[in-house]
Amino acid sequence: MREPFEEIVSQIGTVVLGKQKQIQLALTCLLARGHLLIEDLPGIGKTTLAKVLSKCLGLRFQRIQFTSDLLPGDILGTSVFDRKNGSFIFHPGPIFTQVLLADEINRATPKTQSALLEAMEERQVTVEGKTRRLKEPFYVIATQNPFEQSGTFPLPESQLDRFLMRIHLGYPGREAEKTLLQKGDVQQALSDLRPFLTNGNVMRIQEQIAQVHASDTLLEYVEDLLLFSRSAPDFALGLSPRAGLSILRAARSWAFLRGRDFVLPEDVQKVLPWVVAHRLRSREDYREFSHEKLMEILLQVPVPT
Amino acid sequence: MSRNSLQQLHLLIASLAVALMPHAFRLPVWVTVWCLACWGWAILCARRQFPWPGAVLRHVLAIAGFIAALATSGFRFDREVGTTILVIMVGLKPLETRTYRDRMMAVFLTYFLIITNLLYSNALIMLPYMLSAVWLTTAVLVHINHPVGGFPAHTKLAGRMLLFAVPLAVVFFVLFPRIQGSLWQLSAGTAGVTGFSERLSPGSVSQLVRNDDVAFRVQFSGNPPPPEHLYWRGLVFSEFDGRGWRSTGQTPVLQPVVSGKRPIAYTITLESRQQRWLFALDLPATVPPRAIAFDDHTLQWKEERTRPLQYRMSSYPEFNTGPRPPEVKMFLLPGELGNPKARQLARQWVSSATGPADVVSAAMAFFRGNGFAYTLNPPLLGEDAIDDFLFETRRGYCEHYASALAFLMRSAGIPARVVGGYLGGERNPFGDYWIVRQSDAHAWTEIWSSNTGWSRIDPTAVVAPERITSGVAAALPPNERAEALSTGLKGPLARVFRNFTLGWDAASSLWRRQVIGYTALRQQRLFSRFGIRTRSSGGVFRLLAAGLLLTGLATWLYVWVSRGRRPSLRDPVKAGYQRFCRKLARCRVPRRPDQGPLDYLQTIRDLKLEQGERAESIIRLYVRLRYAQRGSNEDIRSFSRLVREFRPAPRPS
Repeated sequence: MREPFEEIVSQIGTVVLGKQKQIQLALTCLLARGHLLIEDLPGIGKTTLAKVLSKCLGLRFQRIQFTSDLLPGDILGTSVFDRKNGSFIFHPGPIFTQVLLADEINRATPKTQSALLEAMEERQVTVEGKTRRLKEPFYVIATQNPFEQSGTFPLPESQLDRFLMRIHLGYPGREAEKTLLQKGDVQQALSDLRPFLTNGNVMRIQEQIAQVHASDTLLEYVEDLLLFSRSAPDFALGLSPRAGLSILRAARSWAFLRGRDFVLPEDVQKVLPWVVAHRLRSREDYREFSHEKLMEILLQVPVPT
Repeated sequence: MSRNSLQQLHLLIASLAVALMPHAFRLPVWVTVWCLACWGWAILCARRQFPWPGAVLRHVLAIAGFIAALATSGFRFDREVGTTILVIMVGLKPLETRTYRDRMMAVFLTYFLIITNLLYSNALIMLPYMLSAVWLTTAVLVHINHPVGGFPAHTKLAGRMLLFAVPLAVVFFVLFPRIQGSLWQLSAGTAGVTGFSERLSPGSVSQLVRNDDVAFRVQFSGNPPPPEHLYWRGLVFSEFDGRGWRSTGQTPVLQPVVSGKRPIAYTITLESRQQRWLFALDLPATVPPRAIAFDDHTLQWKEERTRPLQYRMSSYPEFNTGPRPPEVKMFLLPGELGNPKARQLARQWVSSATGPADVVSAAMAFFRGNGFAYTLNPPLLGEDAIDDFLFETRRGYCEHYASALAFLMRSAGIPARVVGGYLGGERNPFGDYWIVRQSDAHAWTEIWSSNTGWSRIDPTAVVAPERITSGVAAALPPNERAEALSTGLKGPLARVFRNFTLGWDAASSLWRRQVIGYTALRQQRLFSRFGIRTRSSGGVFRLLAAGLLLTGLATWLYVWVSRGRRPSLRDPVKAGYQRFCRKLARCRVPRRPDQGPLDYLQTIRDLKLEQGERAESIIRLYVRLRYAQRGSNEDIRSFSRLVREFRPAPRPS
């Protein structure tokens, strides 16, 4: 792994313990200009990971706790009448930031969820007929709790598709958890972190990643995967073209973090389950696949030589 | 049951229903009810979670069905029972269609059921039906094997597959060794024979007028003869039994004696194989293969089984059967056959005539001058039928006139006989051929004279000349015309309908001639035109193999061309890497298809191969050339060289 990123990963690893792989993937996702969905139980460290990431990348951070009574205005901002001036003044909502942590996104109503949509896809916000651009880079890191079913509004496929990756954290390993218990306070470790990159750096890295070369052979491989997902009997629906672009973006970012300026089929395979698992459902029972099962199916597609 | 397999069950039943449809009109009604009940049951089981019938129940049902099928036919085993049993199984099959294998079985059963329709009919109307049934079934087959995408997409794919199969079908059609006779209609029943019987009595021809069925179709090689020559000779009735005429006493001959000028060549396509007699334009000059000629210039098929649907003939419109006298005795009358007035009249003519020709013209004048009328509904005749007709009723159809004239001539001592056949026909402008229908049936008289032999005398021509020039309907009195017309339609609608039927008849006749009529003989003739002798079946099979090879080659060529530039054939990097992988695979280090180059390299490293370093440099170069796309032509050459020189040692097993 490229030196500065190795350091970032290990730094984050001092706060989020024993989750090297997830940290790498989260970093890959953000550097590929993608939004990240973290799905896991409460108390596993989702919020911490989001915070740490934004801090290391030197980005402004805002957090919204999604609840069922949250309104779109609470995210986007509202105009308030100012008596002194006799006019409306726009008070920007928490979305005008760089990293937005949408905590427990599936507890908000679909209307509020969809307020995020435009911001995520277009990186702009339209409030009261006026469109305002968001400052780049802009990321949404959303968390959701998969097991809490009552009072939740599961994200529809269209919204899931806008997240470049979805990762699970899972319980920490025995050693890592013991260290966590010894240390006790995560907040302290968090404040000890120093940013590695500045605003401008992140943008430059993103540009470099977009330049990572994807050869014809590699594009063939991605195309084969997409076509396979559309014709294989296992899936209810195939992968969308947006999913194809997402695979390529994530693979570019992954290759870049490994110090390469070209993409290999292995890069695609590494990021594949995290990019496509939330976009594919079983034809039989319309459930999602486990990563193992998914890869078993998708690796039927031969790598072009 | 999942949504998917429910849809598959629906589609299967739909294709079965389409395959069954024509049978539903032929088989007993209970068989159709049986199928519908079983299918409804299966759908209920699938949709409403009814319990599926168990194996025991299914067996009981199957056995009950078989017994019912045999009982319906009176325990005979024929085509109907075979089909009924098949249909009963088809009805039961969806009740056990839950696995993939069952579904495939059901699909092939459907194909088989579609084919069985050919046992009953090979008319042109079957072609669109068979095609759409096969198309639907193929779409279901695609759907079962490839459930992704909607059924419309599968229908499209199946259609394309069928189109691709057309060349192969053509090769099989043209080259596959034909079986002599018909494969499908071996056991065809004998019901519904229409046409002439071996006895001609008053009313036996006129009953055919109401039958609009096609007797045969004729295609003339040159110009068609004028309508007054369109006499189609069928049977000769030479024995009078007091009321009617019998067709007996023919002697087979190799080649009947006849001479004539300007023979007319033509091809006759029969509508069915049921007629024992061959019809030919008066008077046949040749004997088609597999037919026997008789001394009365009639023709019969030798054997039931080998009757072709089509034969070529040529005939003399003007002929002379030579001076050889017939067995005169046979063509005269014994004394005790009644009809004294007719005999009396004949004797009068003889006494006042100078020769047979005078007698004939006296007879024709008698028919012309005494108010005879041409009608389909003549009054009933008494004991002396000919006397009654000639002197009382004077209303009759062609058989009355032909029979009366022949009787009169025999009474006058002139050998005479009655000939049955058809007169005229309708020219089909769409196909330039003639349609002769049962309603064109006709009877006329032949008399013998020592210088011309047998010659045709048609008394109907005197009574109703329109019959010869314009057909039956024109010759009948107006109130009877409707009976002889095929439809009650009038005006422009009738013309449209007429044109449609003629057009369909033309297409149908082309189908019979070119497709159904493509027999073993025609096949041999076709092959011999290309200089291929195919008397031996081995030769035919060799030809078939060559045809298949050719089609295969064409298909391969098509695929190869449509793939266009196949990278592996042009791209040295790709070819080199594939070669490299093959070399390692031979040394028991195969690359999994899903392995990228670096993963493969890791496998090679883990195995600590002797040639590991070389392999590594090859893979690194490959990655650079293929994925980084950096590297000059020089690199490509050195990559190829490295691969060529790469000799891995086999890994110990």
